[in-house]
Amino acid sequence: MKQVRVIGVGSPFGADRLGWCMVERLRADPRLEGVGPRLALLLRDRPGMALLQDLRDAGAVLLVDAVAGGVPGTLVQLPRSALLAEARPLSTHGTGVAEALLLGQALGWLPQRLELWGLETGDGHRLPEPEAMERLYLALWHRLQDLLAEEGGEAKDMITQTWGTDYE
Amino acid sequence: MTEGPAGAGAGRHIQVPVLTRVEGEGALDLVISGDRIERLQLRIFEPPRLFEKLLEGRPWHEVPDIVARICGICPVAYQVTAVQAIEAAFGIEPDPMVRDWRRLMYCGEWIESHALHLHLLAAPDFLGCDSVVELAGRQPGLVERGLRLQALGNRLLALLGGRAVHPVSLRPGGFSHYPAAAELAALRQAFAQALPAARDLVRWAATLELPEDEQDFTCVALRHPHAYAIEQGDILASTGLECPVADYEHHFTETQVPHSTALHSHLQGEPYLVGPLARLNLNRDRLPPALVGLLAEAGLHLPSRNMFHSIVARAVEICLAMQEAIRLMDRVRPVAGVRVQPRAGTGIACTEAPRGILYHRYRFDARGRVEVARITPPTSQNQARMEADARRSLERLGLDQPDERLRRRAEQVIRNYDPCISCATHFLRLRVERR
Repeated sequence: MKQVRVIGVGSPFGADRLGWCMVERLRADPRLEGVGPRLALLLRDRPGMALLQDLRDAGAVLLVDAVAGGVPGTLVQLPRSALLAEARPLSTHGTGVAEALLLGQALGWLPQRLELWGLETGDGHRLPEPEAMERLYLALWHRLQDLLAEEGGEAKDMITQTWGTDYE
Repeated sequence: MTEGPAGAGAGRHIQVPVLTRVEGEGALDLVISGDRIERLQLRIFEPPRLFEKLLEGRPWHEVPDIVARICGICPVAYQVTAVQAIEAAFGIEPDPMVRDWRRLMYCGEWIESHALHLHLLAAPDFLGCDSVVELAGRQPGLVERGLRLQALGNRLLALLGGRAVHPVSLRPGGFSHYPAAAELAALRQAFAQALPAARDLVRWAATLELPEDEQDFTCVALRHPHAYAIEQGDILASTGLECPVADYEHHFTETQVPHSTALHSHLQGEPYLVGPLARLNLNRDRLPPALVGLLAEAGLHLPSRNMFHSIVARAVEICLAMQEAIRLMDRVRPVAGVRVQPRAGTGIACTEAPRGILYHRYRFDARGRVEVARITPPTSQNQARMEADARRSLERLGLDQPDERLRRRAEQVIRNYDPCISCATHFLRLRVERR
C-alpha cells in the first residue's frame, strides 16, 4: 500500500503562499488527528528538482500551488497529462513544477495519480478571497478522501503530519 | 533558435536568439566575413538590477538578506561574502568555529549548484542529447545520481540555513541558528553513504569524450595557505600575481560595453577565467590526497588548458565538497556569536562562489548604513573570456560549417562556463551574419 502525499509548493511571498496555507490547514484539521504514516502532508519552498524526491514511490500526489494569471479565485485542477503538456526547456534558475515533472516522467518516477490543485491568482500579489480559499480546501478534502479510500483503508489512522524536511 | 543566412552573398549573420540551458536573458551575435569572424558579441540584455544602488542607505544587518536575492542558486556565496565584508569594516573577528560553519554551508552550495549544472545543463551537450529529459531516457542512472547529490547539497543548506533558497541563519559575527546535533549526525551519515557516488562521478566525467581544445588563458582564483580555498584566501593568478583581496581593484578593471548590461572585467587588459577549472588549475596542490589519487587514476593532468575540462573540474569539486563537508560535520559545534558594533569604514571580502570569485566592497557611515556598495560577480568576470573562447572555438571548428553546427558549438562553449546572467546582471540567442 503506497503513500498518498499532499505537497504544498510555494514561497513566503504573496499568493505563492497558497499551497502552504492549504497544507497547514490540513495538518490542523482535527478530522485527521492521530492517524498513521500512510498520508504525508508536505510543505516545500521553491523545490525545483528536489520535488522529484517527493514524487518518487508515491501512490498518489496532490500538488497544491498558486497559478499565475487568470481571474483570482478561479479553481484549477490539472491531471498529470495536462501538467506534462505545460513543461518547458530546463534552466537551473527557472526550474518549476512542470519542468521537474517532465524529468520525473523520463525517469519513471511519477505516480499514475498526480494532480495539481490551486487557484488562479492574477498578478500574484495577494492570496485569493477567503471564499475561494474555502472552495479549494473543500475540493481538496473530498479528493483526499477518495484517494485514501482508493489506496485502501480508512482515512483516519493513516495520516502523518511530518515527513521529510519542511520548508526546504 | 537559428535564423538562416541573411542572404545568398559571401557574408553570414547567424543569430542565436535565445540561449537555452543557461540562466537569464542573453544572445550571441556572430558576423562572419569570408574566412574570419568580423564580430562576436555576447549580448546580455537582462535589465540592470541595480542592487548596488538599492543597498545605499540600508543598515548593515539588512545587507546579507538583500544580496542573497541576487541569485537563487548561489545565495550563500553572496551572504558569506557580504557578512565577511561587514566584519572587515567593523573590525570583527568571529570565532574560528564560525568560519568552519560557513565553509560547511558553502560546501552545500557548491554541491547543489555544480550537480545541477553538470547533469541538467552541461552533460547533454557531451552525450549528444538536446536536454536532460532525453538524457534521462537514455541514462537514467546518471541523472538519478546527479539528482541525489544535488538533493544532499540542498539538505545541508536547509539544515544550516533554515531553508535551501535564500537561507536566513548567516549573520555578521556568527549564526542566528545552529542545527540539532542529531540532525547533523544523520546528514553526515547520508553524505558518507553518497561519497562513493561522488567518486564515481569524477571517474565518469574523466572518461567523457570532450572536444580537444587546448588554448592559453589566465586563471584567477583564491589561494589559501593550507586548504582548497572556498570562503577565504588571497587572490592568485596564473600570471604570477598574488595579492590580498583588498587589492583586487588595483589589478582588475571593469568596463561597460554597449552590447551588454553586464560589465566586462580584465586583468592587466586581458580577459581571464574564474570558476572550477581556474580553481583546480591553481589549487591542485591543495586537494586532499584521496582526490589526487582519484585524478591520477582518471588520467586528468593539471593544469589543463582545455576549457571543456570544466565539467571534470565540477565533478572533482563536488567530491571535494562532499569530503570536506563530512570532515567539518565531525568537528563543528555551536558557538556564541560576536556582538556587532557598527562604525564608519570600508570592508572588502572575496569568496569562491560556485562560478568563481565574488568580490564585495562596502563603505559604511558611523551608524552602519551603506554609503557605497560594489559587487563583482563571477559571470561578469568571465564574460570577456567567454567571447574570446567562443571566437577561438568557432574558428577552430571551421567557419564554413553550417549555421546550425556553429550555433550548437557556440552554445556549448558558453554553457560550459555555467553563466549566471541574473547575477551578472544580467542569456543566449545566436545571430550569425555572413558577409
